[in-house]
Amino acid sequence: MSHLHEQLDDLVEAPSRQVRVDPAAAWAGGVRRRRRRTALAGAGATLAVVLVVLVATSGWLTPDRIQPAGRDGRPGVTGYPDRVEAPWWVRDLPARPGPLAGLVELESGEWRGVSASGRQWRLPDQQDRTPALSPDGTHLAGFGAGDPEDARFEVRDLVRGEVVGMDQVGIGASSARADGPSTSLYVSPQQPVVWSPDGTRVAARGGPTGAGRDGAVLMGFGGTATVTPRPGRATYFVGWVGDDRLAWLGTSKDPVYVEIDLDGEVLRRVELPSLPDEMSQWSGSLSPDERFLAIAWPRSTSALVYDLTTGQQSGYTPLSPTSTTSEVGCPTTWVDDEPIVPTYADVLAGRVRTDPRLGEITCSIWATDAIAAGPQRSLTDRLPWRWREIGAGVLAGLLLLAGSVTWRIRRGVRRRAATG
Amino acid sequence: MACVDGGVDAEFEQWVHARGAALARSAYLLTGDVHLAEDLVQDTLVRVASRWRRLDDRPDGYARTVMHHLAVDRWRRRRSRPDEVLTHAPPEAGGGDGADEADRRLLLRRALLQLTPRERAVVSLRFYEDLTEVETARVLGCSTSTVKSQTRVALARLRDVAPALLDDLTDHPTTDAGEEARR
Repeated sequence: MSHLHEQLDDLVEAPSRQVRVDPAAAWAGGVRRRRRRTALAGAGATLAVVLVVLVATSGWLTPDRIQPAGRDGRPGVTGYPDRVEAPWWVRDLPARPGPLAGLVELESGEWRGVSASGRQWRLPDQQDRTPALSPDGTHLAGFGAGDPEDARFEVRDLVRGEVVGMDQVGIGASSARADGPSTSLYVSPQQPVVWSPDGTRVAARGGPTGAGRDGAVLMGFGGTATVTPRPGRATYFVGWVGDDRLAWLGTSKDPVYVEIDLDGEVLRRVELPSLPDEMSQWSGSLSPDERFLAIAWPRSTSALVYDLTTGQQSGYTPLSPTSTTSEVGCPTTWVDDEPIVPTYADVLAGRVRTDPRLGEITCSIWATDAIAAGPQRSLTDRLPWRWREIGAGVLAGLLLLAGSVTWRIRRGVRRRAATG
Repeated sequence: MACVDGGVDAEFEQWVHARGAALARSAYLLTGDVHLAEDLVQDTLVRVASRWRRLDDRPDGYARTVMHHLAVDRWRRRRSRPDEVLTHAPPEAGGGDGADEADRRLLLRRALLQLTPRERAVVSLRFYEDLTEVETARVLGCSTSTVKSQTRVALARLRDVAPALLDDLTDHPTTDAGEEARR
């Protein structure tokens, strides 16, 4: 015991006896404090949960990441979303978004990439050009943004973030330049771009800029581009047969289906009984098993289907009564043996529900592997479309209520202190 | 958990009755004012009560830590320090060697009030609660070297203000080694 201790003890002995201690008031204050702490912790936890749900379901602030590996160990898309919402914010497509399940075009002409979980990114302005998604959803092919004269075909690797530009392939507009065309090949922007089944090449209607016989321009990942002549006049490119044949549809008075190899040599011809009068380059579509050819036409209510093994019509695929076939350039999607003709009313014939606030989906393109893997149920599947707004409203209400209760309690405490 | 009238936990009430006087003495030492000490004790008890079920058999230590932290924090929150008469000249100690006890207490109180609350907390813990430097550092949530320097500064100021009272004061009333030996 130090000398100072004794002096301090002597100092505090008398005055400390005047210090009143009230255990009841202290206990009551402790209970209030504990409740306040619990309420604050509860509000904080609720806020955290709401924020986590918001972030998790909207993809907001979620770092770009690669999706789980698909079939054969390749990074691929794992399905398609069963519903596409109208998020509060949509980011531009980053360099490495991971595999996409599909591409959708809004009424405004804006294209969006959609992941298997329904997350969306805005694609660069396509200027009425239709992009194409590889079968495994990992590559996006189409023209980059920019003036028609300067537009170049490019293939974007959505997993690695690499872009392979085809400097020799434009849209043909450069042939009008005074100093001559700046590209040796062109691809018609209003023509379908089709991926080979193995996902290593894309083919689109086009040819040499200026003079030369047109056909299909084949473009590979290495930046190579070659032209395979088409098998005759009045033919539409309808797709790949395996990885080494191209299929064309002759629409002259004697309709015919033609398969050629990559050098342009005809390998197979199938005479068809008839074709609709009004057709476009988007009308023909080959089934994934290459057995059926579907023919759709603008404003039709059904799609005509031919069995290529017999050359006979195998039936009509009726569309829903309220549907109207898209009048814009949009390819047919196959689900098993059923051709899904794009319509304004339904996306994938109702398999994908879309938020009404998105407006009409004028076109949707889906990766073959995504269709094969099937729909992915969204976390918010059973919630109303406006669940974000409702959640934010509830949260704001809870915060207001908590603030009001706290204010009333504090006011009461101040009043009691003032009166007593 | 047993409760008495008004919902007060019986064990808490017993603990307050047992430790209330000691808490009041520490609080007065930290504040130098009966009313401020009363507020400090009550605030400390509220904090202890709010965590009573989780304190088990360690309420004394928790109360000591809370009280010293509150004493320091209160000063930080105040717009200005409490009114104090600060002069360069040390207060007179009554009649010098023959000063009575009241004068000695007054002199010591005024000397203590010239310390910062943190220095006062260090003096309280080291010289009144008789904690070691390590224990003091743990209570205040600072390093041992900080406790040493604060102690040195505090004692120097006390000696400066009240030399007659504190001439025989040592800087190390309870060293850690001494504490070990005492145990």
